[in-house]
Amino acid sequence: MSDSAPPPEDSPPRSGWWWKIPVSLWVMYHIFAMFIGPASIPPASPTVQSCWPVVGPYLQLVYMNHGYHFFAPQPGPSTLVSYEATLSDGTTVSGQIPDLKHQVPRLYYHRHFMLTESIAGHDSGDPRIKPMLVRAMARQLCREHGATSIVLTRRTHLLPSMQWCRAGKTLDDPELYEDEPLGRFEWADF
Amino acid sequence: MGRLLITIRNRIWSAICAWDEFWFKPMAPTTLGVIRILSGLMLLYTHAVWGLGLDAFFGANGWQDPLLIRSQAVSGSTGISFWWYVQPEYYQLVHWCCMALLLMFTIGMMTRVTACAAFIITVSYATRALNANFGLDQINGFLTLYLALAPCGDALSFDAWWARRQARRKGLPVSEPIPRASTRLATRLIQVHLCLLYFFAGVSKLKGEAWWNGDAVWMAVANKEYQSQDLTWLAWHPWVSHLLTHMTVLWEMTFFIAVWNRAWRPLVLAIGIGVHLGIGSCLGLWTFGLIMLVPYLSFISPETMYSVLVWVRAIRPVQVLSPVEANPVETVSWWPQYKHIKFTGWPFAACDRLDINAPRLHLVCDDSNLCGGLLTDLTSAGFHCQTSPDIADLCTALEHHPVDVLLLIAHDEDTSDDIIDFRRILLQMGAATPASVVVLLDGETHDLRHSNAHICLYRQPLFEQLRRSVLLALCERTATEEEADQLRQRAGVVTAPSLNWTNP
Repeated sequence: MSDSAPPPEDSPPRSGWWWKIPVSLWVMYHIFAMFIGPASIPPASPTVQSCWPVVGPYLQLVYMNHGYHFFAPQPGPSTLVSYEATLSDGTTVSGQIPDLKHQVPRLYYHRHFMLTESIAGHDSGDPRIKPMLVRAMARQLCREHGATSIVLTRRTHLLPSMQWCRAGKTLDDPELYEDEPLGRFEWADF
Repeated sequence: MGRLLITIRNRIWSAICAWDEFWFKPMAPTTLGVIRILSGLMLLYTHAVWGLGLDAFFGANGWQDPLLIRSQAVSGSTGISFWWYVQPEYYQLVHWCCMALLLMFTIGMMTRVTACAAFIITVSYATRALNANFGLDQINGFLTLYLALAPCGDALSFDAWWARRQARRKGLPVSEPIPRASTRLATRLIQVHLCLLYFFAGVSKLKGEAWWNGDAVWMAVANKEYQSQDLTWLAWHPWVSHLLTHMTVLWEMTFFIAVWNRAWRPLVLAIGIGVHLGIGSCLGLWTFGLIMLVPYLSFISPETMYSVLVWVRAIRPVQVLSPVEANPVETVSWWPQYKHIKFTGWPFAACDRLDINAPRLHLVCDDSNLCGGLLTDLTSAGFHCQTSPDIADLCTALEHHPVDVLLLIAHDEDTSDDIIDFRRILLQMGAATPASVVVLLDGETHDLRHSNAHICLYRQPLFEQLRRSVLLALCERTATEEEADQLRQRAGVVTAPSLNWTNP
């Protein structure tokens, strides 16, 4: 323009274009990684899974290694852990995690719920993890109650069908619970 | 063959321009500022709750000892977490420092630093307490990452307030936040991430029988440990569960397509709002339900967000000063206010020297089909083009993008009031404005003022006539007579195809 207006003081500086190239390349890689992350969860094709080494460490670094399996493949039964802790004076304390009455607010309850749900999540896969999870729970519960020993039981709360409710039964009917002993732990073992 | 290569080159160039516009077109930071505030509030709550059990969740002898977490590592890495390096006696100190940084991030103080800190904090807590995580942490994670990439503290923040205060103290003009490419980039990343999230959430559901036979919603609400509302009445109305189940899958799997359609977007987002509020109220997952709605805001333009905030009196309109006059004008925000001012120094972005080989042209046309055709022909004719659907969008663009010539398409003089008002202001500003060509497709009026740099065309001119008029208008903007002669020579060459105005 032959007669340019004086540059406005608040006018943004003209940015070049060169920086857009590496940023665009990163954007394309990032989107590719976001796609491969959930797509590589089994069952997945070998081709997709072969892309994991290219994006896996990056996804771990930026905390985007997620499958977004919300209530998928389908809503499942809840996993709870009940315990009976023996204190040093011989008295026992019973309880369950998660516990909506004592773990407030709701998010705090949900954090504990996710801990017990992770037991079910490791029923398959690496066989080392589930015993470590259970042991850590036993140790923490002993610490919380000052217990000398503790017995843990896994309680699976099955989901009732619609027919179950129409028959007049409740969601917390004892028939819906399946118990599995997780073991007895001594504080001295920790 | 030459024509084919030109066509291919133009297509590639169009694709590059489209990519550039999608990811890097400067965007005002208002929407991102709101996202920052809401994300920050959720982060404060999330981490305050972590604080109720620091030793239990992060301690070496708590629910998740280091050996357990490291045994679960994927790709040989547990992700970054500073909690690995914090001694137990410093847990409370570190936690409260993190809370202070999150508070600063929420209110937009030292945002460039605190946004990065918010991301590191979010990831550190989440990766250390791996087995206690759920969807809330995933959403917190990607929001903080993208907000750290952008100037999310340029609006609705302590930083912005401080900058305005300092400017007033020094007697400098106070301006609205500057649109930046990084704002658009972060906004688009949030949008794309949301689309991918819903796509995989929907696809993963297809692996489960309950999402096919319609029982999934019932199974979710019948879970006593999640239940916060008694919905067992659904057992007597199974069709409700079936309908909601199928709708959920359909909505999730089509979100990534439907949300980009302006006509479908409100419905798609409204369904999502219903879904997530339902998750919050019926399953007790309020934190997850609410944080999922925060990325939805990325689909609201900064202009609309600004208007909403002004309407609800959350903010006052920023007084914009004319950078040409450097004198305050009455409080204005957008085009409707500007056109009532008798004289104004319009804050056009400063132009450097006109490049006669690639003049910058801005097309204003509200007919998308016509606009597409014109854009292709104008690009072929050697113009570097941008578009706007209306004058308001043009005004926003002109504040930050220098333009050599405007091409304004109006249907007739009765419906082109905005264009006519805008041209009056252009003519008042004289040499400080870009050149303009107004095309009245169906009208014919001689009330519009003419000048050599501001030309009017009537009654569906041929493209060649339009191209010639643009070049002639630019002649008044060249620095030398030689360049003007070159433009006149180019205006005399007949090469472009004719333009069908009724069926572009």
